[in-house]
Amino acid sequence: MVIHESLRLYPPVPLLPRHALEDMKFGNIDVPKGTGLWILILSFHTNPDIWGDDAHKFNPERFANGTAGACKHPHVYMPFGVGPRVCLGQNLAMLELKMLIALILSNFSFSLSPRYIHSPAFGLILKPDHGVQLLLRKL
Amino acid sequence: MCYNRYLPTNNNRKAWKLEKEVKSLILEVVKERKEKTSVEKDLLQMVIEGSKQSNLTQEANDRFIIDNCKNIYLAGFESTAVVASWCLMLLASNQNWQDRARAEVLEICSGRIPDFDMISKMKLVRTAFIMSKF
Repeated sequence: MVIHESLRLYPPVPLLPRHALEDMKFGNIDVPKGTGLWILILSFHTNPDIWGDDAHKFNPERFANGTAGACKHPHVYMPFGVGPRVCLGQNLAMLELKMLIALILSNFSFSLSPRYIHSPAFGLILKPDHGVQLLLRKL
Repeated sequence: MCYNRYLPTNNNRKAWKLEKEVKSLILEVVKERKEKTSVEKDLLQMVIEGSKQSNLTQEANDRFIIDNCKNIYLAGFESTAVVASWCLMLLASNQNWQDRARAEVLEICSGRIPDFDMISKMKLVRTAFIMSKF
Protein backbone atom coordinates (compact mmCIF):
# COMPACT_ATOMS: atom_id res chain seq x y z
CA MET A 1 0.00 0.00 0.00
CA VAL A 2 2.85 2.34 0.88
CA ILE A 3 4.76 1.52 -2.31
CA HIS A 4 1.57 1.68 -4.39
CA GLU A 5 0.85 5.12 -3.02
CA SER A 6 4.44 6.25 -3.72
CA LEU A 7 4.13 4.97 -7.28
CA ARG A 8 0.84 6.81 -7.63
CA LEU A 9 2.18 10.20 -6.53
CA TYR A 10 5.66 9.85 -8.03
CA PRO A 11 5.49 7.45 -11.00
CA PRO A 12 9.11 7.13 -12.19
CA VAL A 13 7.87 7.39 -15.77
CA PRO A 14 5.17 10.10 -15.70
CA LEU A 15 4.73 10.30 -19.49
CA LEU A 16 4.31 7.53 -22.05
CA PRO A 17 4.68 8.20 -25.78
CA ARG A 18 2.64 6.14 -28.24
CA HIS A 19 2.27 6.26 -32.00
CA ALA A 20 -1.01 5.48 -33.77
CA LEU A 21 -0.19 2.77 -36.32
CA GLU A 22 -3.64 3.01 -37.89
CA ASP A 23 -6.69 5.29 -37.79
CA MET A 24 -8.32 4.97 -34.39
CA LYS A 25 -11.35 6.32 -32.58
CA PHE A 26 -11.41 6.93 -28.82
CA GLY A 27 -14.97 7.79 -27.78
CA ASN A 28 -15.76 10.66 -30.12
CA ILE A 29 -12.13 11.60 -30.77
CA ASP A 30 -10.70 10.64 -34.16
CA VAL A 31 -7.00 9.81 -34.10
CA PRO A 32 -5.54 9.58 -37.60
CA LYS A 33 -2.77 7.13 -38.44
CA GLY A 34 0.68 8.50 -37.60
CA THR A 35 -0.42 10.71 -34.72
CA GLY A 36 1.95 10.92 -31.78
CA LEU A 37 0.16 10.48 -28.45
CA TRP A 38 1.46 11.42 -25.02
CA ILE A 39 -0.19 9.60 -22.14
CA LEU A 40 0.00 11.77 -19.02
CA ILE A 41 0.21 9.10 -16.32
CA LEU A 42 0.86 11.62 -13.57
CA SER A 43 -2.37 13.51 -14.40
CA PHE A 44 -4.34 10.26 -14.34
CA HIS A 45 -2.81 9.38 -10.98
CA THR A 46 -3.70 12.68 -9.33
CA ASN A 47 -7.09 13.51 -10.86
CA PRO A 48 -9.57 14.33 -8.04
CA ASP A 49 -12.49 13.14 -10.23
CA ILE A 50 -10.95 9.68 -10.16
CA TRP A 51 -9.26 9.51 -6.74
CA GLY A 52 -11.39 11.87 -4.66
CA ASP A 53 -10.59 15.19 -3.02
CA ASP A 54 -7.48 13.87 -1.29
CA ALA A 55 -5.92 12.90 -4.65
CA HIS A 56 -2.76 14.88 -3.87
CA LYS A 57 -2.39 13.52 -0.31
CA PHE A 58 -0.24 10.57 0.73
CA ASN A 59 -2.81 8.09 1.98
CA PRO A 60 -1.81 4.43 1.48
CA GLU A 61 -5.09 3.40 3.12
CA ARG A 62 -6.85 3.99 -0.20
CA PHE A 63 -5.18 0.82 -1.50
CA ALA A 64 -6.54 -1.32 1.38
CA ASN A 65 -8.88 -3.06 -1.05
CA GLY A 66 -6.54 -3.10 -4.03
CA THR A 67 -6.42 -0.78 -6.99
CA ALA A 68 -10.07 -1.44 -7.78
CA GLY A 69 -11.10 -0.18 -4.34
CA ALA A 70 -8.84 2.87 -4.53
CA CYS A 71 -10.43 4.77 -7.39
CA LYS A 72 -13.27 4.93 -9.90
CA HIS A 73 -11.29 3.73 -12.91
CA PRO A 74 -8.57 1.28 -11.82
CA HIS A 75 -7.12 1.03 -15.34
CA VAL A 76 -5.82 4.61 -15.14
CA TYR A 77 -3.39 3.48 -12.42
CA MET A 78 -0.43 2.35 -14.50
CA PRO A 79 2.92 3.03 -12.87
CA PHE A 80 4.41 0.22 -14.99
CA GLY A 81 2.53 1.04 -18.18
CA VAL A 82 0.03 -1.35 -19.77
CA GLY A 83 -0.29 -3.61 -22.79
CA PRO A 84 2.31 -5.63 -24.68
CA ARG A 85 5.05 -3.19 -23.63
CA VAL A 86 4.24 -3.28 -19.93
CA CYS A 87 7.37 -2.99 -17.75
CA LEU A 88 9.33 -6.20 -18.05
CA GLY A 89 10.93 -5.75 -14.66
CA GLN A 90 7.90 -4.89 -12.53
CA ASN A 91 7.99 -8.02 -10.38
CA LEU A 92 11.71 -7.67 -9.80
CA ALA A 93 11.29 -3.97 -9.00
CA MET A 94 8.50 -4.58 -6.47
CA LEU A 95 10.52 -7.32 -4.79
CA GLU A 96 13.60 -5.09 -4.58
CA LEU A 97 11.55 -2.20 -3.21
CA LYS A 98 9.80 -4.25 -0.54
CA MET A 99 13.09 -5.79 0.54
CA LEU A 100 14.84 -2.43 0.70
CA ILE A 101 12.06 -0.54 2.48
CA ALA A 102 11.53 -3.41 4.95
CA LEU A 103 15.24 -3.51 5.84
CA ILE A 104 15.51 0.27 6.24
CA LEU A 105 12.32 0.40 8.33
CA SER A 106 13.47 -2.32 10.68
CA ASN A 107 16.88 -0.71 11.27
CA PHE A 108 16.26 3.02 11.21
CA SER A 109 13.75 5.67 12.14
CA PHE A 110 13.98 8.60 9.76
CA SER A 111 12.68 12.11 9.19
CA LEU A 112 13.25 14.73 6.51
CA SER A 113 16.40 16.81 6.87
CA PRO A 114 15.84 20.60 6.93
CA ARG A 115 18.25 20.65 3.99
CA TYR A 116 15.81 18.75 1.78
CA ILE A 117 14.50 20.87 -1.09
CA HIS A 118 11.37 19.47 -2.71
CA SER A 119 11.90 19.66 -6.45
CA PRO A 120 10.61 16.78 -8.57
CA ALA A 121 12.30 17.09 -11.95
CA PHE A 122 11.47 15.31 -15.17
CA GLY A 123 14.40 14.01 -17.17
CA LEU A 124 14.00 10.54 -18.57
CA ILE A 125 12.41 9.72 -15.21
CA LEU A 126 10.79 11.75 -12.43
CA LYS A 127 13.53 12.30 -9.86
CA PRO A 128 14.31 14.54 -6.89
CA ASP A 129 16.42 17.30 -8.41
CA HIS A 130 18.54 17.85 -5.30
CA GLY A 131 18.36 14.33 -3.87
CA VAL A 132 16.48 13.30 -0.70
CA GLN A 133 18.29 14.17 2.53
CA LEU A 134 17.09 12.20 5.54
CA LEU A 135 17.99 12.24 9.22
CA LEU A 136 18.49 8.63 10.29
CA ARG A 137 18.33 7.28 13.81
CA LYS A 138 19.47 3.71 14.49
CA LEU A 139 16.75 1.73 16.25
CA MET B 1 9.44 10.50 -38.54
CA CYS B 2 10.83 6.98 -38.73
CA TYR B 3 13.86 7.88 -40.89
CA ASN B 4 15.12 10.79 -38.79
CA ARG B 5 17.13 8.52 -36.58
CA TYR B 6 19.41 7.53 -39.48
CA LEU B 7 20.37 11.09 -40.46
CA PRO B 8 23.64 12.43 -39.05
CA THR B 9 22.06 15.35 -37.18
CA ASN B 10 23.88 16.79 -34.17
CA ASN B 11 21.60 15.01 -31.75
CA ASN B 12 21.99 11.69 -33.53
CA ARG B 13 25.78 11.99 -33.60
CA LYS B 14 25.74 12.69 -29.90
CA ALA B 15 23.50 9.65 -29.32
CA TRP B 16 25.68 7.40 -31.47
CA LYS B 17 28.82 8.56 -29.65
CA LEU B 18 27.23 7.88 -26.26
CA GLU B 19 25.98 4.49 -27.41
CA LYS B 20 29.50 3.56 -28.50
CA GLU B 21 30.89 4.73 -25.17
CA VAL B 22 28.36 2.71 -23.14
CA LYS B 23 29.12 -0.30 -25.30
CA SER B 24 32.87 -0.11 -24.68
CA LEU B 25 32.37 0.53 -20.95
CA ILE B 26 30.25 -2.60 -20.61
CA LEU B 27 32.57 -4.75 -22.72
CA GLU B 28 35.49 -3.63 -20.58
CA VAL B 29 33.74 -4.81 -17.40
CA VAL B 30 32.89 -8.10 -19.13
CA LYS B 31 36.51 -8.54 -20.22
CA GLU B 32 37.74 -7.96 -16.67
CA ARG B 33 35.25 -10.50 -15.39
CA LYS B 34 36.27 -13.13 -17.95
CA GLU B 35 39.93 -12.74 -16.99
CA LYS B 36 39.17 -13.33 -13.33
CA THR B 37 40.01 -16.81 -12.08
CA SER B 38 37.55 -16.87 -9.18
CA VAL B 39 33.92 -17.36 -10.15
CA GLU B 40 31.37 -14.90 -8.82
CA LYS B 41 27.71 -15.77 -8.63
CA ASP B 42 25.84 -12.67 -9.71
CA LEU B 43 23.68 -11.38 -12.55
CA LEU B 44 26.64 -10.43 -14.75
CA GLN B 45 28.01 -13.95 -14.46
CA MET B 46 24.60 -15.40 -15.41
CA VAL B 47 24.36 -13.14 -18.45
CA ILE B 48 27.86 -14.11 -19.59
CA GLU B 49 27.20 -17.82 -19.08
CA GLY B 50 23.85 -17.50 -20.85
CA SER B 51 25.59 -16.02 -23.87
CA LYS B 52 28.07 -18.92 -23.98
CA GLN B 53 25.28 -21.47 -24.19
CA SER B 54 23.89 -20.07 -27.41
CA ASN B 55 25.26 -20.40 -30.92
CA LEU B 56 25.65 -16.72 -31.64
CA THR B 57 28.22 -14.94 -33.74
CA GLN B 58 30.74 -12.91 -31.78
CA GLU B 59 28.93 -9.70 -32.65
CA ALA B 60 25.51 -11.03 -31.65
CA ASN B 61 27.08 -12.44 -28.52
CA ASP B 62 28.44 -9.03 -27.47
CA ARG B 63 25.11 -7.50 -28.35
CA PHE B 64 23.30 -10.02 -26.11
CA ILE B 65 25.56 -9.15 -23.17
CA ILE B 66 25.38 -5.40 -23.76
CA ASP B 67 21.59 -5.31 -24.12
CA ASN B 68 21.06 -7.40 -21.00
CA CYS B 69 23.45 -5.26 -18.99
CA LYS B 70 21.73 -2.10 -20.20
CA ASN B 71 18.37 -3.53 -19.17
CA ILE B 72 19.37 -4.82 -15.75
CA TYR B 73 22.01 -2.35 -14.63
CA LEU B 74 20.86 0.86 -16.31
CA ALA B 75 17.11 0.75 -17.11
CA GLY B 76 16.39 -1.50 -14.14
CA PHE B 77 18.46 0.45 -11.66
CA GLU B 78 17.60 4.12 -11.66
CA SER B 79 13.85 3.69 -12.14
CA THR B 80 13.61 1.50 -9.04
CA ALA B 81 16.13 3.55 -7.04
CA VAL B 82 14.15 6.70 -7.67
CA VAL B 83 10.91 5.07 -6.46
CA ALA B 84 12.74 4.03 -3.27
CA SER B 85 13.88 7.65 -2.78
CA TRP B 86 10.36 9.03 -3.19
CA CYS B 87 8.94 6.31 -0.95
CA LEU B 88 11.44 7.14 1.82
CA MET B 89 10.70 10.86 1.40
CA LEU B 90 6.97 10.19 1.80
CA LEU B 91 7.47 7.93 4.82
CA ALA B 92 9.83 10.52 6.37
CA SER B 93 7.13 13.17 6.06
CA ASN B 94 4.32 10.88 7.25
CA GLN B 95 5.58 9.55 10.57
CA ASN B 96 2.34 7.69 11.36
CA TRP B 97 2.65 5.59 8.19
CA GLN B 98 6.33 5.02 8.84
CA ASP B 99 5.41 3.67 12.30
CA ARG B 100 2.59 1.49 10.95
CA ALA B 101 4.75 0.03 8.18
CA ARG B 102 7.65 -0.57 10.60
CA ALA B 103 5.36 -2.33 13.09
CA GLU B 104 4.23 -4.67 10.32
CA VAL B 105 7.77 -5.43 9.13
CA LEU B 106 9.00 -6.10 12.69
CA GLU B 107 6.05 -8.35 13.42
CA ILE B 108 6.55 -10.46 10.30
CA CYS B 109 10.35 -10.63 10.26
CA SER B 110 11.10 -10.48 14.00
CA GLY B 111 14.76 -9.67 13.51
CA ARG B 112 15.44 -12.03 10.58
CA ILE B 113 16.41 -10.96 7.07
CA PRO B 114 13.17 -10.95 5.04
CA ASP B 115 12.71 -13.85 2.63
CA PHE B 116 10.16 -14.28 -0.15
CA ASP B 117 7.42 -15.66 2.17
CA MET B 118 7.79 -12.82 4.65
CA ILE B 119 7.71 -10.24 1.89
CA SER B 120 4.53 -11.77 0.44
CA LYS B 121 2.88 -11.37 3.86
CA MET B 122 3.54 -7.65 4.13
CA LYS B 123 0.19 -6.04 3.57
CA LEU B 124 1.03 -2.41 4.19
CA VAL B 125 4.14 -2.53 2.07
CA ARG B 126 2.43 -4.93 -0.36
CA THR B 127 1.10 -4.84 -3.87
CA ALA B 128 -0.35 -8.14 -5.00
CA PHE B 129 -3.27 -6.53 -6.79
CA ILE B 130 -1.56 -4.64 -9.52
CA MET B 131 0.51 -7.67 -10.44
CA SER B 132 -2.53 -9.81 -11.10
CA LYS B 133 -3.95 -7.08 -13.30
CA PHE B 134 -1.68 -7.64 -16.26
